[in-house]
Amino acid sequence: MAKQFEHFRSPEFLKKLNERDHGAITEVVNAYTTHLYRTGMGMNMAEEKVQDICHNTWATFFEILPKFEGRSHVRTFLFGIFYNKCSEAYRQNGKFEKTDPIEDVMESRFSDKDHWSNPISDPERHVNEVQMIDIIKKCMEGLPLQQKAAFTLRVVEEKETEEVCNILDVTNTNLRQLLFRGKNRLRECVEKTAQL
Amino acid sequence: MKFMFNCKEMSEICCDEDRKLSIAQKMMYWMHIGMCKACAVYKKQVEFMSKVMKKTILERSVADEEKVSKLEKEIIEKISKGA
Repeated sequence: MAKQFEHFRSPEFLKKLNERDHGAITEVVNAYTTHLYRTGMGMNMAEEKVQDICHNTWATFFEILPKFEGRSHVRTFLFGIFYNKCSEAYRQNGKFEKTDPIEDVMESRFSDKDHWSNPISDPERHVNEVQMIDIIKKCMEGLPLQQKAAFTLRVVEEKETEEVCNILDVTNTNLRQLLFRGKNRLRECVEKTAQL
Repeated sequence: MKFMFNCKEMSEICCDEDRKLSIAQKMMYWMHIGMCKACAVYKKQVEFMSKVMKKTILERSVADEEKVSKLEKEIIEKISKGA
């Protein structure tokens, strides 16, 4: 699949896109819109919102394409724009957090010698597997977009670390932190909810 | 030389599927899991949650072909007109 679109990297193809060549536009839009759409749906956004974001992503893509130097693949460039658009949508919905409370929660979990300060409780003692899955799904909604996106790109879509870092504009260390925080935030939420 | 990971390091390793451990580190890791119930429970939870989260995202990642096709046409038309 990826090799099929290798020519999107070529200066000739980029030139055609910049000149708004109909064939080139059709090719690139048809290559990635389904993927953008599915990714948006996977993040549990409303379908209308997903369509809006797809429209805006492509509009911005062509608007800033002349500045694109071709250092990364067109797909990486496009998905970077897509995640920025998703972040904007999250911010508008008030779902955006500047700080992550999980940092403090995790710190308090460990003693001075970095061992668990309290035993880890097993939610499975309070709920069955079906209830547990429901709780996980609910808790997923509370994850910040960047953590969800990092998980989707790296774990679900199994993209290379370097590409994920480029799309989300983060370093390798930041990406690890995002995955660590996301998984722990989810775990803390499940633990709390299951015990209620 | 270090002979054992502490629980904080274990929590980081459990969440980091990309981390490459040496043979000695792998032994330290499994020894810790065998001895520390809290880390064993933590590892099991993180793995289960990741599995459910991955499955949920995949299940939600559906795209109605007709709708996508309509959307693609609209986008192509809009971009081409803006030329």
